[in-house]
Amino acid sequence: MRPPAGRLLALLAGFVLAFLSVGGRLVVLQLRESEEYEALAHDQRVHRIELPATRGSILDRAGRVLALSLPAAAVYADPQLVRDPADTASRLAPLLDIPSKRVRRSISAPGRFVYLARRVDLDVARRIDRLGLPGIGLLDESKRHYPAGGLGSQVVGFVGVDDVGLAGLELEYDELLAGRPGEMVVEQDPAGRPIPQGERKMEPPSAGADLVLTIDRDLQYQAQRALAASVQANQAKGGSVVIMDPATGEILAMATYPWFDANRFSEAAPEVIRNRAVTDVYEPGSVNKVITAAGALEEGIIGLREVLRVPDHHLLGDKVFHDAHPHPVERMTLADVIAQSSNIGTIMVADRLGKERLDAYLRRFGFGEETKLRFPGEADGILLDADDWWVTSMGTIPIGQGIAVTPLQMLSVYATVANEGVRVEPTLVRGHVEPGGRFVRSREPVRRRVVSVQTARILTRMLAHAVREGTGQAAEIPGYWVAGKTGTARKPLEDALGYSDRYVASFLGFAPARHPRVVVAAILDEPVTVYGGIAAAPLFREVTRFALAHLQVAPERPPRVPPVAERPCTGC
Amino acid sequence: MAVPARKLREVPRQRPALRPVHPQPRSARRPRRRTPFALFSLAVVTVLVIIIASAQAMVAQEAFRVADLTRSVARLEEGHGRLRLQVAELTSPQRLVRAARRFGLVLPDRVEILQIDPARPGDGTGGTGEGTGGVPLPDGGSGSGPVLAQGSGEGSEG
Repeated sequence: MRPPAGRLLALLAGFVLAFLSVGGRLVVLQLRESEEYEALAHDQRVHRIELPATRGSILDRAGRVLALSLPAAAVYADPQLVRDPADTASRLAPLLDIPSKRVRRSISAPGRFVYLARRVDLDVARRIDRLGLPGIGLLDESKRHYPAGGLGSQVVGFVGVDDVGLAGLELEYDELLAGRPGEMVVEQDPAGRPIPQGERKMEPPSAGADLVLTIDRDLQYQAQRALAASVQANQAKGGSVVIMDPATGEILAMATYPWFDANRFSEAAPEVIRNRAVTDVYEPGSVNKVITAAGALEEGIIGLREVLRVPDHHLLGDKVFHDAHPHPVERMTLADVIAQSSNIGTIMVADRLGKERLDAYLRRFGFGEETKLRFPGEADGILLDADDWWVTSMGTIPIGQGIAVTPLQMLSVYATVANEGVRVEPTLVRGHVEPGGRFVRSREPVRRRVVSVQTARILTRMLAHAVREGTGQAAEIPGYWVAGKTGTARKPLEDALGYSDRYVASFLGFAPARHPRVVVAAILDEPVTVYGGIAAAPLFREVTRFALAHLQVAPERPPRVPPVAERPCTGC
Repeated sequence: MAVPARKLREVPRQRPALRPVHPQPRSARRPRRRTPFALFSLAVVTVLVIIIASAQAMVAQEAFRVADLTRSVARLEEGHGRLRLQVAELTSPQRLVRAARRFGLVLPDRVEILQIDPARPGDGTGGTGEGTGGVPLPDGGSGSGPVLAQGSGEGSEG
């Protein structure tokens, strides 16, 4: 046995060593590794939380909601922290409305993060939170709702799961609607509660602005309802209806059939999502004759009372052009040519006008360029330079074949006539409401005179005559005087080398003729009855009648009848 | 300008004679009273501790209250959004049309235009809806003819 002194010394040495090691470790912790541990502790306590900005709503012109965002949650799992996958899946599945097997597969997958469901209602999220399942977490996000479903869905568009605009005005005005996310830095205890007097910084999010459209929800509904009924009645492939206020360029309704429910956009076919009134072009046919007439009147190359001798066919180059129906040589004024929609009469007038001037008027009316609507994917149409026209182009283009325009471009032509010769850029957005409540109006649309007031008034009388006595009689509305024009256009073949036997029937016009309040385009794609005056004019009438009643427009005196020739011609 | 130095005359100082100071006996010193000071200090410290602790508790309480209120605001905003959505859904044209159909209402086939006799101004007997009044007939005339009233378009037929 060692003497006590020795044991004491050994014990002392042991204590000294122990203290030295503890002290040494303390020195290392405090001097060498302090910053590392401090940062680690800081990261455990201090959390940066992104505060998502509320996406602005989309409202119609009266402030009625077309799109709205509500807070929601994303449910995610950290598979490595899930203790009992079978139990977790069986408890989550009914809440998420997902098969239990699918949930189990997700939470058993390798990796540290997997989404189980996106844009879950907060009620459901709270119930999941209360379950306290290990490895299951929630993230804040928002869910876009379209309370009117398919109403104006191609115009409004939709957002993806990350709340980013993917189509329509949601895409075009994404930056304005999205706002700016904020950030909160907060010290939290292990239970996630904020530590009083702990670090706390907050940069509040800036909510997105509300977008106020020019669309009138009621008119939009009626336009869609009438369009769907007309497409079905005519067994057409599809169709478009656009209603515009000619004085302001504001589009009151823009419908394309078939449409889709924006709440379930993922189920819609890509061709249904397109706003065809803006993104797709077609050969307009006879509705284009109004431009030929406008050019002729503006240039003074034909008198109102001048009578043309119009046969039913005309040879141009190697191609023979025909009127819609065979007839002997007829005496026609320009008003008759428009009212009877004579192809040959129009070609004769265009021949006097010349291709350079015809091309100039087509461009002055807005063909060959976008309408500046600010809509994604807007087409500018197809209009060759006059130098590149074929010999037969002077037979096709005056009657609306051989060129391609969007329904909106064509509507803008009639709006120009209705607005006494002044073209107003069409618009879909009246302005936006800032988060503070201030309404900011969109910039004024550009106005440009295309033809003189006199020319526009004469054209109006001719178009009113076309409805009263010509091919557009099915567009008449009792009590009102409608000005408009039918169009029956053959569709080109897929390879653009010739025409098919399929047609686009259309009617474009405005009412009341003296003081127009609405300009309407009614277009049907491949109807069984191909004539615009039979297939599309009733659709125009239905939509315009409702629009006039909805806008409380009073009936008016008719415009004077333009000079017409006596028909039929005998012995000419 | 230089000033000529003058020699100062030294004046001898009168210093008091030094004398020894005898320390007073310990018992003769005035006893120092530490207890009140200690009590006072203790009281001050106690009061300060209580004040600081109370302030901390209040701050903590307020922090929790702010957190509760923030959650409450979020819940109310969410509720407001839900109500806005509900209003939008309930007033959507599709839903109104469905509801109207359940009550047997249909859209009229055509707008009724009723003639009012201009000889009897103010006689609106023909008008079923919003009268437009004072509008000449569409007869191409000078506008001095009879006037029209327009029937209300919506739901005027059963």
